[in-house]
Amino acid sequence: MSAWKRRLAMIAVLAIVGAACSTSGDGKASDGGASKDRRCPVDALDDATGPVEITFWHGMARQNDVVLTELTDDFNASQDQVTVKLAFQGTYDEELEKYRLALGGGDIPDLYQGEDTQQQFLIDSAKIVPVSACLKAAGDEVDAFEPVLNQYTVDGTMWSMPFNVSNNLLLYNRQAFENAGLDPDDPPETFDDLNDAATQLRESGATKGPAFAFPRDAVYLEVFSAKSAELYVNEKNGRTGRPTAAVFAQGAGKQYYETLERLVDDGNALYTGEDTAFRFLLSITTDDSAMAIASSATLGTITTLLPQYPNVTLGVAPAPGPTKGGVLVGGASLYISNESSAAKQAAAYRYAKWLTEPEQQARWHVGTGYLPMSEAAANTTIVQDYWTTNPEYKVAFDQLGAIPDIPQTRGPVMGPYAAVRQIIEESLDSMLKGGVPADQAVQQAQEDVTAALVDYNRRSAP
Amino acid sequence: MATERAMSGRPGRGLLIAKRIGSYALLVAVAFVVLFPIYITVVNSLLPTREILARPPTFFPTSPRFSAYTEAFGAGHLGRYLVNSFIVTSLITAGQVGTAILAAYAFAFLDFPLKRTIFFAFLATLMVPFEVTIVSNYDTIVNKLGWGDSYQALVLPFLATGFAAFLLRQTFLGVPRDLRDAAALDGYGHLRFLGRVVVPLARPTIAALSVFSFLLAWNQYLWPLIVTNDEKYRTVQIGLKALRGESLDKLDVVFAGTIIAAIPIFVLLIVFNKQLVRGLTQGAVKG
Amino acid sequence: MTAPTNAPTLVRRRRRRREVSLAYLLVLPSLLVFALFAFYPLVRTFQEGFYLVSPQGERIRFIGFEQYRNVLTSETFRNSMWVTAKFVLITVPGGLILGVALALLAHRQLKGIAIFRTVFSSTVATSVAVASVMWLTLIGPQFGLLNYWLGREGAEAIDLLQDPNTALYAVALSTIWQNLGAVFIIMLAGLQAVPDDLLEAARIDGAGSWARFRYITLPMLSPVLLFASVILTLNAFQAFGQIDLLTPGGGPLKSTNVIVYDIYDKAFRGGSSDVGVASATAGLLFLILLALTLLQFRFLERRVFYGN
Repeated sequence: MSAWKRRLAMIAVLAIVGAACSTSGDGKASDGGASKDRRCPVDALDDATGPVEITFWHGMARQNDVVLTELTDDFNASQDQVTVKLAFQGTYDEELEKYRLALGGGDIPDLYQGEDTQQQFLIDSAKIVPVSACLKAAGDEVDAFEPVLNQYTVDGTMWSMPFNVSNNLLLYNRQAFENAGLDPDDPPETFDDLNDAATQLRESGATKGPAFAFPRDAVYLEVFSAKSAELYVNEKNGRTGRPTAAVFAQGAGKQYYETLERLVDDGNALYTGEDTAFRFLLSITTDDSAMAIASSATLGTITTLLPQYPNVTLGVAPAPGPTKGGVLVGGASLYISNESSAAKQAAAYRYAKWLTEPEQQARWHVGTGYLPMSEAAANTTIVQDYWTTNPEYKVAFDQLGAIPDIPQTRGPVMGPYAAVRQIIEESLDSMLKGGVPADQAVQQAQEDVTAALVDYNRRSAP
Repeated sequence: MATERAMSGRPGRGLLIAKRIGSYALLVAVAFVVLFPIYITVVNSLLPTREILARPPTFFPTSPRFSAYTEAFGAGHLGRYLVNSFIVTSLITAGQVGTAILAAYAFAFLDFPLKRTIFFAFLATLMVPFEVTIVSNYDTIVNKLGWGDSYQALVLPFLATGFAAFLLRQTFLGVPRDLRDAAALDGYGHLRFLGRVVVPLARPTIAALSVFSFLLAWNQYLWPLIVTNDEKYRTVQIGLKALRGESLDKLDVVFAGTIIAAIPIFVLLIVFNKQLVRGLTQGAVKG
Repeated sequence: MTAPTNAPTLVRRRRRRREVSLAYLLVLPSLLVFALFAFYPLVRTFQEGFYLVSPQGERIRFIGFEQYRNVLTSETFRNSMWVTAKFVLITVPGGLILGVALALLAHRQLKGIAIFRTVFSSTVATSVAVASVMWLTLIGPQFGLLNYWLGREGAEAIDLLQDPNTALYAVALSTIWQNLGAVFIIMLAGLQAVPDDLLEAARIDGAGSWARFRYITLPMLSPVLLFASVILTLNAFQAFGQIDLLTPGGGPLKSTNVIVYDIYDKAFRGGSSDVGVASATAGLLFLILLALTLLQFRFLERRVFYGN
């Protein structure tokens, strides 16, 4: 036995010694995002012989995948200079992990679809050709609403091409409203309205339980801050430099936490926790609840689902909360790699730009429920026809157009997004499951977020 | 038992039958509990989401529909992925069993310097969680060797396991020493002895091990996802994950996909059940 | 070569040398795989723990034991170890006891017993991922049947995976179920090795069924129990998939944040990923596992009955 022990100990020691001795030092000096070549060779395609093939990593599953494939096939068929190869990489998070691993020297894709939360990380990876450089070199413009363009602009540079756009909405069951004696055409605009409506829904028996259900979700705190016209982190939400501190706790954040706490205490809201099974939405179909906040990206799924439920008529309203500011632009955008050859960069740019054009945006909207990013796309016949039968989509689109162009509605840009959201989610748990008072929970969350920002900056090149 | 006898008054045939009925009842009840999660998953795969959510729940679908299976097959690209899974899993299984037979023979029948140290190195691999090695292995395979999108990337890191060598060594130790001596007298070298005597004797364990290896390899998800981009090389678990992507209205499809991915393994289990039990008898019983 | 050759010794020595090289040749393929895909990553893990690593995965500078120290004293690590310990203490004995019970039940001469044996071993055909999805039908939110059965009319809906007091037990239950098939097979194999005449003799001597189990069957089972407990313990310490699928994020109030999940979460978290801290945690986990496996062998080996 003791021989075993000695040998095992030896292995462990060897491992540690190996660690200490190894001087290979993979620590390449990081050169930061700024010093990299920022030119975009948009003309390189013309010099290429034969079609240029590019790889496009994306996180579009199921129906979204189908429509993206159709669009891409059409793009490939429409010209003979560029061939786009799609590669589904799982969820946005999994896609990012793969990208991160490839940064160690593997092949990063020519074009990469990154969720809005990945912006700072991707900029700091120093592997991105800013789209604004391509636009400038080509003398192009992207036809999209200002808030959409601004969402992907940091410190005056637009790093990526907007692609799939969504925002948050209030979904409710019109029939339940009627059964409770509420006017389904006058949905709640604020959380106070929502609380009153929920009381009536529950007391009238229109819902079996709390009439509003919400999951463990950090996004809506960001939206609530933007709707309150307040910043989430300093450096103008990280748009003028890497943020160093969170600032949400005093005003909007405190109000939001207290609102949720009150809704739950009043028996008017069900907190569904980490909710990968969409209980907060599905409970509407069983009349357990009647209201939920969700991304417009879920509308497509919901509308296909609803015919099964004669007890539900979908109502869609702008996201509830203060109206001083506006909602945030959610979704994802496309990043061009500066490691690719000039021809591939040009090819990636051409394809990404093509996807933003009204015709494609219209088909994308009708097929997936992501919002058309421009007025021109909305005015196409297919979208207009679609809206006559599916008016709920127009609510989200109108909300997008109504976002005031102020710094507070440009969503926070943060490196450690995942950690920040996790901190918020855990603090929601601590408040709603652990009994920590709202003001304490939000204060703690703010301190933890600041710590995460500081940690990111400490580990990043200046 | 004494009370039973006293109560029935007449021991013998009647008691025996009663006991037997009791045994069957218990067996059936336990079998029901063990199988229930599988059964209810199958039921749910045949129901629209609305009925999965309905209360009271449905246990016997009156009008089952199989559309979820066709949808899972199509949307998850499960056809192509199943083929890939078979290729990759077969290669891994063959490799694991092969390397384990060789190494186990050395540990069981040969003496060599550092034997115990090397054996412990094998055991130590069991203590390294796969999630811990993944970053480095990606770096080796994809960044350094440039093998992204290839069968060797999917197979190579799994060609040997400490568990397989450990299990086979235990089995080989059970082969009587006299056999080796007798074989040596017949002029058998080590390799011939291994091939003609040891492997046939250990066949049940090897079969059991193959099933286990197959199972583990079949169910890999994270590694195939990160080392492949091309559909040509992707495996069935990735297709499953894609189904889960937007599972809001498609609970039935998620369940159907799960069943599809599990069926090959269940078939394997039923076919090899006897070997599995016998094989582990050999391997595990020796301490 | 001045001494007169002693033929038999030379032959023996040559044979011995051939045997040694053959032995190395036989272990070489496995060792190569291990060296490249287990030990090298392990060494790198220990190494990386000494570096400050950027979110993009580049080493920034050597910082010595700082991260190891920070991890050891952190609340997260303490919580993860505690959660892991609970998970191990539930799933290992739970799996062993149920596995033995099932094996005892199926270890009889009855017509059709083979069918029951197949059924009892059936969960061996499920993976962590498949088992977790299947268990969603029982413990998943809203449609989970167990939630439904446990819920009382009018009371607040039960959601086992979202309640910090029950989440870990719910995940453990699905894990025990998933392991059950394998443990059952191993235990059945063990039971079949218990000689019937020994039990018969004890019965004639008047030993009751409990006494026979306690003093004959159990000691005879001890080698397989050791084998199964080591494998189950290692598995439980490395639990990841079920946590990720059933309680992504580590569960309500971190109540299911087992150590490997915590490592994964630190290493693979987009812009927040910190390979340095994750590596330091992983290094510590390896040392703990090593120590525990040794203890387990040492403690159990003394009680194991090997026969001859």
